[in-house]
Amino acid sequence: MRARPLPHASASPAPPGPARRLGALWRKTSLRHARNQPWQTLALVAILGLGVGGFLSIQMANRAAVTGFEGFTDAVTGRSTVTVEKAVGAFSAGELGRIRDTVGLRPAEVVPLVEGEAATAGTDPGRPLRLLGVDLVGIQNAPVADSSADLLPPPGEEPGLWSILRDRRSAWVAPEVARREGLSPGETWTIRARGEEHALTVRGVLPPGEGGVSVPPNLVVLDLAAARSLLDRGGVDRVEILVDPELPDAEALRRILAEELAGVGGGAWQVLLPGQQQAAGAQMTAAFRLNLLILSLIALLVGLYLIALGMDAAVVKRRREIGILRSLGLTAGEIRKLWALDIAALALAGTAAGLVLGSLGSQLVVRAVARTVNTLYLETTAASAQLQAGDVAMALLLGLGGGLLAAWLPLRDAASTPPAQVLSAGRFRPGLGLLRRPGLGLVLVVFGLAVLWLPPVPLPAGSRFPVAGYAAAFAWLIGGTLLVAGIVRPVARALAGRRSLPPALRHGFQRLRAASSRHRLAVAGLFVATGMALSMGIMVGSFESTVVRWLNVRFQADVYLSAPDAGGQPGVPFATVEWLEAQPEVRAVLPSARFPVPLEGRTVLLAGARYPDLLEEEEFLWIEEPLPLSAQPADADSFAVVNETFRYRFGKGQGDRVTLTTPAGPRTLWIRAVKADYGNDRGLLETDLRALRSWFDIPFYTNAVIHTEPGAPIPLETWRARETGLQFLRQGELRATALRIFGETFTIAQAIQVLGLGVAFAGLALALLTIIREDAASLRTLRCLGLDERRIAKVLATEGAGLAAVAVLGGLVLSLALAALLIFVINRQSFGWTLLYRLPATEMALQAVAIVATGALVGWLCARSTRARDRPSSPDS
Amino acid sequence: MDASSPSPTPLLVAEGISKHYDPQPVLRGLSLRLDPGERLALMGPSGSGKSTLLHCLGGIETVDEGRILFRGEDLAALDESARAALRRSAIGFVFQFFHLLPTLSARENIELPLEFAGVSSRERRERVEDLLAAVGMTHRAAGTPSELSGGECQRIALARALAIRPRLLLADEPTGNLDTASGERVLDLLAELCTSAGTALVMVTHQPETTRICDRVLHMRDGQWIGEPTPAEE
Repeated sequence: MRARPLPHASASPAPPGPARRLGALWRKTSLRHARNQPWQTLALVAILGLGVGGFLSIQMANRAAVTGFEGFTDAVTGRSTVTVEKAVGAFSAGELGRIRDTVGLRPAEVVPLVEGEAATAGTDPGRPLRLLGVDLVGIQNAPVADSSADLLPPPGEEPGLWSILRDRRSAWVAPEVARREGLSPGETWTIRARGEEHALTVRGVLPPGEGGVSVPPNLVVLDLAAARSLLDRGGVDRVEILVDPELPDAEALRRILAEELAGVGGGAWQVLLPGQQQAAGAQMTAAFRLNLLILSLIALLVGLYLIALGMDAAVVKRRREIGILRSLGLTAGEIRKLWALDIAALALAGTAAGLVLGSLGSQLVVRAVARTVNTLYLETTAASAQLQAGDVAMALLLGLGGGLLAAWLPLRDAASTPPAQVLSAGRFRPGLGLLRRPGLGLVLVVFGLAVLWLPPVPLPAGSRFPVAGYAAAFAWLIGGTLLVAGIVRPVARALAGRRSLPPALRHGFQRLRAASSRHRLAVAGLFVATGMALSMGIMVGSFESTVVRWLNVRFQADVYLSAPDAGGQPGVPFATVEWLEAQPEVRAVLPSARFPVPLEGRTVLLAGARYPDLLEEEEFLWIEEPLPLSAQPADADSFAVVNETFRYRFGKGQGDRVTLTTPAGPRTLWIRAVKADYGNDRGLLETDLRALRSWFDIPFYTNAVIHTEPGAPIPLETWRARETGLQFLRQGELRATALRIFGETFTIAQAIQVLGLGVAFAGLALALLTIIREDAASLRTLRCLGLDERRIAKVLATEGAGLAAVAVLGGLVLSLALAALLIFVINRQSFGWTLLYRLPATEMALQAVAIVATGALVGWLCARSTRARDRPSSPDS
Repeated sequence: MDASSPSPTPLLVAEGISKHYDPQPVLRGLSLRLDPGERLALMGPSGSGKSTLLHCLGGIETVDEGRILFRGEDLAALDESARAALRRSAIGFVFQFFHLLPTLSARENIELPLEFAGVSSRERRERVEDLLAAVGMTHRAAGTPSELSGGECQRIALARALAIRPRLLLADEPTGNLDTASGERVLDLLAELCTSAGTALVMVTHQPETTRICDRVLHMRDGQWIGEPTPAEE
């Protein structure tokens, strides 16, 4: 019988195009794999989502903290304003008159404002509120009051406009406040300000911001007179000059007004053009935000590492399928495209997950970031982070770009898979050759040492970016990775040669002796994660011990007096200090006033303290001991004690002079000493209080410390009852509060530490599973040679522990180097703080042992999972 | 087939063994007897159950019905550890694709089962050198599997299987992946070493010419013997 001829090629329908063929193939292979193993698919999506989400959450929280710097009036008045502020104190009626005279008849409106803090009362008391008192009649006439127009009902509607304005209890609240407090127009609402409760009538909810201006979430707007009464203000805090933005020469007019007002105010007024306030806040925190960005990049990097391992595992698992496809005629390029399609699909799903995780995560991180900013820089209202279109674009870029980048090595590996015939002969040994260059690693380590000499890069507003520190850290990370990956084989060779070791252990080392590229990748990932986590531990420990030492010196008084954060007095009245000094239990009261002032185009904290009493009563951590007052030059108006940050930022130390612009004219300060101070990173310039009060119109002290007579009881409750708007804290309470705040500033660092350790373990497990899966035939051979599961588990536990031990040893060295970099270079150049280098040896040793033990455990569990998956068979099965 | 034959005391007896890979039956009530030093070839088409039978005889897989007695001991009565111990001490395996451990040298591959069997270091060295000499691979002892030819790999695999001086050697197409000349050399070596050590052999093969070293040949199809059984299997 003759065989039927095959149909001629020309008779068959046109073959599908490459794209369609690839799409069809992807549906039949990858998509079915994903469907058949949903948990594995979900794990890969989750890894991608975690990487993208981690980065996004820090970015969103960061942005939320910075947008919190926006003026609180922006939402009400728009942005076309020139802001006039005083360095200290309020504008008097006379000063307000001078401002009005300066503006004159030009098309601009003068809007005086009062701003202060209050708190909720009632069922959920203590939530901070920002009160803004604004001349509601004046602002109605202002040329740029679009959004504020919505504040008042149209004329003629009930209740009448004048009756509302006459009612000192009328208030308009931010949408967030209305939602949280369950308020609606017409309701009565109680708040607490300056220690007293006040009932307000809610007249309306502030309209949402326009043109990118958001309403601060805790804003409450009152009429100017009502706010002054509630906050007990004699004058106004700030004056906004509203210029019609529709004017053709609006920008020029604003500049002219700003120049004229600055001239009229002398050094006492600070005049800011639109956006300058926010820009100043953003500039001030540039270094901090840059550090956060780098931390978020680390989060992304570890995410990419996990993606690379996850994709690598998938390639190994489907190696046979790839080999068959190659046998059927698919080219290496087509295999690469097929897998790229796979990664793109996973990346899209991971990006979606990352957006959800990022939004959720940012809500957790935002408070930590905001607290850090509040503690170190200035008050921000950040309470929640919002997802924006830019975030979605960034997530897509990170998810797709990062996914493809991370999967580059596995993709290359997949494409290099030979046809099935070669695979089945067992001659294919894939390799990722990038990690076989210890020489390059050594060069990078030396490069890192060399760049340490580079100076920091100055940023606007006086911050500095420690480029040398970060470049060295990066070089050491990469160089160390190559070095550590290169020592796996020699270490394993030395151990495998020890005949005294039990056979299972010895064979574990024998397997490592021929460590594959995957072994190296696992060691590299674990090395980076361990080094990062341990170095964060050293840095946090060092900072903590330094701060504890500083706090021990700083808080020597028995009681501390200050104005509370919300709902209390704006400062400590002079009369209160005088009354306390007269009390029999009190030995000394040392008040201090501090406020930000401009200096050489930056902002520093100017403080006044009662010298020489302060030096007699308290001890300091001196970086440079005080010079005798007799050394003060004759042309200096007074002396100053500066902190270390000031010395770093301005390059001025003991014996140098600083000239300040004050309402009383220029004043020269002679720097007498430099002290350690971890309270701010802007720079502190502290001078004699009497001199400060003679130059500035200071309405109250910022705080005061109280030293009592030895053994005398402290009548704290009596003092608190008398001064209800003030806060009295004992030494222990304040120290605990300070420590808590400092602890919060390291929330992100600790999160990175936990993340690092988590990635270390997850990465090791993934890598070992991949190695074992790829080497399944060897394990079956061992079974045929008579190894029971227990012994095989021992072999793999040794392999896991060996990998972990090499990585941890390298990671320990890396952590010491990175911690030294963080403490002596990055921290000093960013913040100007000298920290003690504290090595938490026990903690580090425990973590190292835990990681090695986990390595062994992961190996053991991998052996068990292999046994569960593979039915017993010969290697040929 | 009846396994209750008289002396000599059989090394291995299989009685009515069956095995399923759900729902497919692979072995259907097979019986077999193997005497010490006897050499048996198993032939049959792909999928007839030859390799599965080999795995069951070596204790790698368990049977669903029937029993396998090795030196009078029922393999089904042993747990996984005990069966592994049996493979460490008395049963050797040779595979078509050699399955040498790629990270070990030729010498270390041979030494490995001895190490796991608890043989002393000195004796291990002696036995390994003897085996290397016996398979003619002393000069290639330091090479890793990737540096050896197929024939050399199979010679090392043979030496490894015989290192523990097994009573039974199970070979799954040992020459299936070798050229004719290499296959012939390996086959001769296999026969010679089994004879000198008194090791019984069960060899799965597709190649009729390789059965020349065996005492008996059994043919399988669909998990059953086919053709006339020789008196030994009656």
